[in-house]
Amino acid sequence: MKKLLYVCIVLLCSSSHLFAQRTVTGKVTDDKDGTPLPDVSILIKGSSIGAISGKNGEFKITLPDGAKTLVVSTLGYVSIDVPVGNKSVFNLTLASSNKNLQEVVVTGYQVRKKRDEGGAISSVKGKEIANLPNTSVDRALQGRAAGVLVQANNGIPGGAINVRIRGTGSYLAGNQPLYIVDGVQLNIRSDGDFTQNNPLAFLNPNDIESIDVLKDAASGAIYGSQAANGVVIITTKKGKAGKTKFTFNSFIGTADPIKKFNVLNTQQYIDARTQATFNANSNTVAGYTVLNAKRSILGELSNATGVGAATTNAFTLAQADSMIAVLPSFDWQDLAVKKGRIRNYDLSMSGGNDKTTFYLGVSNTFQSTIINKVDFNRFALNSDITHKATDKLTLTTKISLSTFEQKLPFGVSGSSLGSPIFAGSLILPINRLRNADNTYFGLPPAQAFAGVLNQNIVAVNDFNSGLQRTNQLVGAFAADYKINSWLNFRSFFSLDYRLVQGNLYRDPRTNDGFGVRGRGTVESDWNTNFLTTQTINFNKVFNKSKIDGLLGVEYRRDINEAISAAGIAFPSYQFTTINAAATAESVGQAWTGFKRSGVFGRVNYGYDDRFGVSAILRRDGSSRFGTNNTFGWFPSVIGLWNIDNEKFMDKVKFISSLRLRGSWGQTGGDQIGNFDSRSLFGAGLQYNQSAGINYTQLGNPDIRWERNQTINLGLDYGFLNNRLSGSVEVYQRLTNDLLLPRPVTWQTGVSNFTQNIGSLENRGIEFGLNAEIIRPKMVDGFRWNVSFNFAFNYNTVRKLYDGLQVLPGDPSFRVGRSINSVFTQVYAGVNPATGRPAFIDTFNNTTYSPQLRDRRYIGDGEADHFGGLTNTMSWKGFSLDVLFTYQYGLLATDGQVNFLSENGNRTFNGLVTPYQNAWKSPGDMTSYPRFFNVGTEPGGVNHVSGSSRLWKKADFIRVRDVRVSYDLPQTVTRRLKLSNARFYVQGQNLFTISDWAGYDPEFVGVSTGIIPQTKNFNAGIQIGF
Amino acid sequence: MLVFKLDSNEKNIIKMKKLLIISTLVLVFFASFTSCKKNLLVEPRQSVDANIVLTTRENVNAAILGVYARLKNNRLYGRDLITHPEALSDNGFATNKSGRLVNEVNNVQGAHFLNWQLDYFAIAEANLILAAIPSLNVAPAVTVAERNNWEGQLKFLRALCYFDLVRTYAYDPGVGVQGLDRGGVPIVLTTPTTTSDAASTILPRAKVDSVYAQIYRDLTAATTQLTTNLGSSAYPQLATLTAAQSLFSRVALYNKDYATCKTYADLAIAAVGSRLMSSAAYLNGWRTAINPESIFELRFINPAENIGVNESLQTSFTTLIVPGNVGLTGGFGDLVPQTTLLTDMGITATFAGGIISSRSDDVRNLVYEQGTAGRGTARVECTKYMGKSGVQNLDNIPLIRVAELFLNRAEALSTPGSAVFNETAALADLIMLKQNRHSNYIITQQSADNALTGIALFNEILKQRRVEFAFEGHRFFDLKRRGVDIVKTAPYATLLYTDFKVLANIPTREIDTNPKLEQNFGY
Repeated sequence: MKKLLYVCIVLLCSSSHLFAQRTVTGKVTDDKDGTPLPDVSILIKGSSIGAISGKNGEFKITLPDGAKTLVVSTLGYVSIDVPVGNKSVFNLTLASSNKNLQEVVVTGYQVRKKRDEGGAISSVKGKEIANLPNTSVDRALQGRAAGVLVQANNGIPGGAINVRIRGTGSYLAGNQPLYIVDGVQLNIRSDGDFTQNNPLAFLNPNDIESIDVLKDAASGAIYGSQAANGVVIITTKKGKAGKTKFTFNSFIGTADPIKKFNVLNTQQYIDARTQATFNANSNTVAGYTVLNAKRSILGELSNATGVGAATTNAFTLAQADSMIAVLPSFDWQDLAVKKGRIRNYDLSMSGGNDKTTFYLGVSNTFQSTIINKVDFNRFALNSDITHKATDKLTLTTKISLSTFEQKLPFGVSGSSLGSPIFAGSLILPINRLRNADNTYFGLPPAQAFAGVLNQNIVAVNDFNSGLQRTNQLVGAFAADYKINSWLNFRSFFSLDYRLVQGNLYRDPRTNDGFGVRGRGTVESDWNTNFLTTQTINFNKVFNKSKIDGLLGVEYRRDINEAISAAGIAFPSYQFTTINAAATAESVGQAWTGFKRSGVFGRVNYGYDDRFGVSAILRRDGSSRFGTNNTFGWFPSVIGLWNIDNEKFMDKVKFISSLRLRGSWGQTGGDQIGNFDSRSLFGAGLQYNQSAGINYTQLGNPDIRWERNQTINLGLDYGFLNNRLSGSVEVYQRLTNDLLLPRPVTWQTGVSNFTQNIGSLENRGIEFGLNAEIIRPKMVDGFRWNVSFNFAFNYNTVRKLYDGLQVLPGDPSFRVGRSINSVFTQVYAGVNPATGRPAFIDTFNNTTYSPQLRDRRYIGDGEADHFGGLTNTMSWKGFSLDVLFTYQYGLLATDGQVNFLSENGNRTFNGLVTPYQNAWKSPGDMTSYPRFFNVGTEPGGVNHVSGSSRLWKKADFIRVRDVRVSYDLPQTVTRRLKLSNARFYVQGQNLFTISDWAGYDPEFVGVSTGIIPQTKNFNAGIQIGF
Repeated sequence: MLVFKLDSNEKNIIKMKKLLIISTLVLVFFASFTSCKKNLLVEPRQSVDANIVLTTRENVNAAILGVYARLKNNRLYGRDLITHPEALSDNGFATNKSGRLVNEVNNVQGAHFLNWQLDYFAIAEANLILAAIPSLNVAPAVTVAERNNWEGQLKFLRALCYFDLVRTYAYDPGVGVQGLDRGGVPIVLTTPTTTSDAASTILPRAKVDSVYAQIYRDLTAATTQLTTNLGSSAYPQLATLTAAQSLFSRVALYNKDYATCKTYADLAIAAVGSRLMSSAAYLNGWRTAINPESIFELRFINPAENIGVNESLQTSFTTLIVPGNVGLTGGFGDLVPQTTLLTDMGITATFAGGIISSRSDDVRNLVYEQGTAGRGTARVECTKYMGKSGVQNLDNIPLIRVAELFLNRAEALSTPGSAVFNETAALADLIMLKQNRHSNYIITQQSADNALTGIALFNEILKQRRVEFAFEGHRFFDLKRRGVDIVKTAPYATLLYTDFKVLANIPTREIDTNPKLEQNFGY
């Protein structure tokens, strides 16, 4: 097809140059091994006339008069300009450019040409995600890798990200993928209790060259027992020989809230609360009037109004109303929120000579968010030194050093009264921020807030302090020895060391610190993760056959230790270190660890660039498993057929590439407790000033690997000279021997023991499409590329034990349904006659008080499909990138909204919508029940207790990243003695389409009080010199 | 080493072969190293393997303390077993200041005791230790006295746990509701140690009588094996002979076995009757860390044991930090006395506002006072728990007090139809208590009390029980064991004794795991 196109071009062009032309021929070969290079473009400089080399590397071109230079280029090779002269036969050789420019993938202990690889692998290049204001790189995968679901748990910079590759495949044994950075298998524990922690936060995303996600079990099987949830292989930048290149990059920006809740003002709240109080008392207390209710409400607010219950209880209706009318309203959402700042500087250096190359990246990243004291500040250094000691021996060291500090907010999630995000929308608006003398209002002992949310969140966040610091070293050393032309031995050692230290201070001036006169907590947690891998790689070509592969052994030891201490009773708020505390409240120490080892091998055979097969086998052992089943085998096979290289495809011109891939493989899951196979007595109890111990665990010596078996079928396609290209993957991921907490009756002294029971299936389709919508005629003409991916995934529990249909104690785990089924009572709406919330019982009757037995399946908490759409447009030096991401079909409940929907039933604020739509009089048709103090009418349940009413689809489409950039033209940069210069402006989360009532439809778990994601803007500059 | 002279090409080949051999050897070495089970062994350090832990004297002692420590949990005596009998009955009013205990006061279904799991966990530990003691092979050898003391304590604790299970999940002896009664609770005395035994532990509910028989067996053993009398100086934090006798007297009263109730009350009163606080000492008794009347008291002493600002007894019952200082707001004060209880205690007050206008001479009302307005309307609150162990929210929790012995015995002696019916003796016990509770007893009470007989005497004894143990976790059980309705004051609805919500629901997961276990009626 490509050829045809060029031939056409040549013909068209040649028609206007019929005179004074000549035809030349030639052959293009690789400069190293002399293999002919097909598909090389040979263009006449300054024109669009050219040719493409054939399979044997040969080409033929008709030169117009005046043609002086041929530009010879192809992917993965350095382009050359060949003077035409008088020659009529050109024997050209091309030098391979840096490997990373080729379409290669990292497959685990190997780098392979993408065309030779048959597994399901998604790749994201560092360029695509550079300069995005993400503190950890996992965030940037969202919408960019098909089948990889990325969900931000919250908006804490450096906080946890939920990454699911092809659905949820385990109940107990973890669903996090294996992260490998330059061969180092990262410790993915979330250490440090004070704030959220991301195992990838140590790495500056700008130091990343590429990310390869191994999605099918066959690709992952080389990692055996750790690869059940897929493998994310991150490769950082390496040095390149040549003149030392410097790149400086910096951006600054801001963070703003995505949304604000529309809450009641003081008068609306009092109205709701009055009705709630009146409704609750009028039937049971004789002679109870609205005035009684108003008096009672004004009494509740006396802390803020300063008018005591003795006065308000004597009010007439007119007095009460006139007081209510003039009460002020304060917007605590505004008071609690500020503008966040984003700042990033990084400088990288790369260079070297034919013996030694180096890369050094240093960076500082600062991000604060809309809440005080969630700041993230990281200094990171990433280095790579590669030295060819001899022709055969190459030594490589890679070191990432990183230190980052996270300030500690009052709470990262949950319903803590002092948490600004939880309380901001719930504090009664009558409460003021400051007193007349500018001191904070409502601090103990002299003052108190009105209402349940009784902490001045601005003061609390101002006075309390805390810091969590993570120091991390990820270092690796490798020696590669070339035994001969086809054998290579690699000895690899790495250390991933992380120290997380934190201190937290609850100020004695604040509500939580007052009673104990201040509380200080410190903790240190260090994790030492040692890994060594010894591998022999081989690679040999016989005529049309290619064989490559490896043989290796591996050993990993991961030890985690922690100490902590807390003290109370400080002399004053000015003393914040725990040595000042009068009383030691607690001390703690923790120790855990595991060892894992494996022997593995992989053989790839390719024939004529048409067929390929790979076989992979690994044997792994883990200290986590029972003495009866310490070791396990993990086999897999991959097949590949490059249909486009078949002769019969030559005739099918519109298909430019077509490859069929298939794989079957098994991987293991072992992310269970380190000592789950053991029966244990644990310590940490005390009674009567002595230490006590108790029975904590019933061990199962028979537990073994959870087996994750994936069948994957993939098709890569390219049409119309690859203007449309992409791939389709279909898979079935079956988890057998599912590790489950097998429930036993509490009469045994434990809740459960871990056992391999049951099976779970994920089935899905991933679809990727890259389209060159507009391809420019000139190199810097208008270009518009669209890249789209989406994935469907269906998750089903296939089997439990003993014929059970539901896991006892967990009704959301049921055979035939998703692992995250939502099983709850069904809301029937509000009874129009009484205004009371009604539910549907087992017998399909409505009831005010549903029982546990009335629960039904109403959906599941797994996303049915999700994906992303990237638009890239460029013209001259300008380019625009827009990434949309979406998620559909996930059922979730928003804890914050549930609180905000109580509608005056308790003394905190609520949303306007339920207030305006609440049932008021018989005949009202609404889904919001009548106001009722406490929320629970006699013989009923609270309307905000669990039911289908609280579960909604968290669907959304979001404009995730937008970037506009401008590259200064070469003519200008050359004059400025720069190799390149770029200016850019970016936005994140600018726009979300969703009918979700909560702050953000993207969260994991319960959204109550989570520090939210923000809308970010930043602008930056990147200079190379 | 090689001695032949070689040309360079051959040299290279040999070098290459050598390297190949070396790298293969490296691989083989690692392969053999990594495939060895021994090299993969990691021993836990925070915990000790259950198979070896109970083989030392120290660990047996620590494990017994572990059973006591279980009782401190919020779902047991840390909170629920003290708060809920007040909330579910006619004693408590929910202020809704934190939202806690509101459903319990409203008798919403499912808002009930949740002690099933932890009581069975404690029982399982007691079983494991009791099984390990006979084979304990340590030097110096375990003495008979030591063994008796261990076993006596464990059996006391096991009896207490079964008693708490049976009185929350089952009807008490003699007052089962026909059609609703589904028996007692499963009895397990041998805890499984293998997964297959655990998986096949599927026990039906034993009859209520069988559960009581088991509690009797344990308490009989405890009262034989324990030897320590709780003298005037000993501390009540561990099970003693007196504690076992006192618990036996309570259990027998629930079992309507009045003779046994009297027998053990007699024995215990003989040992500790003199610890009954005088009216002058009463208030101060509640202001000291260890209540002078305690026969068995759960100890909370270290700051790490603090239950905290949300669920401790102090925060549950009062907003005050310091008695008498309404300017300082501390806890939530979620549960306060109902008007009927205030009346029984001789307090006249505005219910909303908590302003006390007068008090009778009953000194027990001194531990009730106006709370703060810091979290909404001020109320009269109970101040029995005030962070007496040195820090806010840190309090020892008395479980059995001397006063109970007199009230147990008086009830046993005055209950119509009792085998030990003796109104004179019952009145003597009542007077004994009341003269230590009314500062002007002779003037205000004595003449009326002297005239009490029959049902009037019996009712006065019950009323004293309500006042004496208000906010100590008795009221709901005292009404339930007699099979009477819980008459509640507006805005709460009366809970009829025949309402299924009198019993707690067995956790659903237990019903799911154990097909032989029958859920209580209505759930």
